[in-house]
Amino acid sequence: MKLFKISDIFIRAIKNQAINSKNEIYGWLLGYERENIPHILAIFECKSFDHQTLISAVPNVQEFQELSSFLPQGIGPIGIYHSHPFSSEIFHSHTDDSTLISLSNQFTNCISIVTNGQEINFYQMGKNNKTKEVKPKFNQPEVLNYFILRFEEEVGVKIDKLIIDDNNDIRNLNVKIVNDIRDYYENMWKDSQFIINDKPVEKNDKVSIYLPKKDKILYVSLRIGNLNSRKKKVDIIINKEGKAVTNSNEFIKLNLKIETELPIYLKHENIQFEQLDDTIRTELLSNNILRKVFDSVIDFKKNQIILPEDYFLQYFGFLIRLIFFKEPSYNEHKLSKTNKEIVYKLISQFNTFIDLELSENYKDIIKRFLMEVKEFSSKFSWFEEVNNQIKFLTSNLMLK
Amino acid sequence: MTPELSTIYFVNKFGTEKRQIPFPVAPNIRLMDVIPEISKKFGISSQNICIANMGGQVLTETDLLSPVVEIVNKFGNSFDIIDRGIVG
Repeated sequence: MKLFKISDIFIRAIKNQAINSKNEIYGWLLGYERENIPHILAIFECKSFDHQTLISAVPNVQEFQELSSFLPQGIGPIGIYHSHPFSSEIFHSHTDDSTLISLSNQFTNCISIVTNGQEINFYQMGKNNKTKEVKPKFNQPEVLNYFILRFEEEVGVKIDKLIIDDNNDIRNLNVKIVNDIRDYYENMWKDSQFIINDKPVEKNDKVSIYLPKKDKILYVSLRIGNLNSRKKKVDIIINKEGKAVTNSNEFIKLNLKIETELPIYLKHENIQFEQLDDTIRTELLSNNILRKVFDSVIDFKKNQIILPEDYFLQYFGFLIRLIFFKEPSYNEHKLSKTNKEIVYKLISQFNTFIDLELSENYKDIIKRFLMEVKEFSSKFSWFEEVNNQIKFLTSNLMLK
Repeated sequence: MTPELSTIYFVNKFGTEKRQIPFPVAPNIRLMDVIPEISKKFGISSQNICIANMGGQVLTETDLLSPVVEIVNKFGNSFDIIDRGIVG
């Protein structure tokens, strides 16, 4: 029988959620895979459903999107769990099978956990689309090694004045900028270069030769395009559809400063940089820069496109990423509501641990996370509400 | 004359790594018409597949019936592919 690794605290937490709900519960198993064995580092209980009854559950799509967006490359949703309330026998239903087939096509060793609150079973997809039971090995898996990717660039975004004057176009200006920045970096990606300590890295170099000793972090910079040019700033032109800009008087120029750092978790340390090319491209473009441009503030008075910044939190020992603006008024206008919802979902994950006996190690992990959430929340007007919830958890989880 | 192809990007976030697939498509085609192909490429069952823009807004049936060019102008050229993960 195949194995997967999970801490028994999560099994108790899943059972606890099931016991306390009349309807089916649902959640995601977060972790990584090493030597074909899934390692579960954390669970994330679904808090928002499109549909939730005694016999079925459909999580809200946005909930999964938010969760997967703040997870780093290398650690992700690799399984699901749900309950069959009041069921005397644990089984994987026909609907559960269909979903496990679908999820296993995306992640081969996907785990599906089913419980009635008392008993619990673990499934994976076997041969011929038939589910098979798998066995958990109860331990606390180690978190993978990682490096931090740095990317900095100043971009001049030239926008056709006709766009600024058109009410429909101006409403979708962020989207237009996202599309053109995407096209620019996708075209330039073939000319990308990793740099460590100011020296270029060969793409077939193994990451392991650069990894520093324990407790130190490897920083890898990335340059895209202009590798041999001294010109540091790139220009991107946003045209009115079907009309080319030919005269410099016909556009206004906005400055966009991109500065980002993101963790890349390594499934094994012998991996070469070129094997991480798509991983980094997806994370940097789709999940980081473009997301930020989508949420950016365009200040025409200062001729600036202001991007939100990254804020990292350690969730069960690995880094997750939220975004915020340094300027409080931008936060209130753009990101406050979304961040409040995400923060509430994150801290409410720990309610389920209140009745459980936690090891000192997990207490430390949760305490650190709550401190980081408190610091992040202090940037928003809803800080006191969250702080009260953190105080409640600190007291009830007996975190000293 | 055949219209120039646009490239739209689909990102799947289930599994240990997010993966993006560039998808060249004619701008006048409806997004609905490429979903079966996307569904096959990512291996997601067609009942479970869902498409959202970067801000997390799920595309409605009306959106999916619009030409790609309209959707790209409204929502951007990057979409998340999400498996609803229905259980029973």
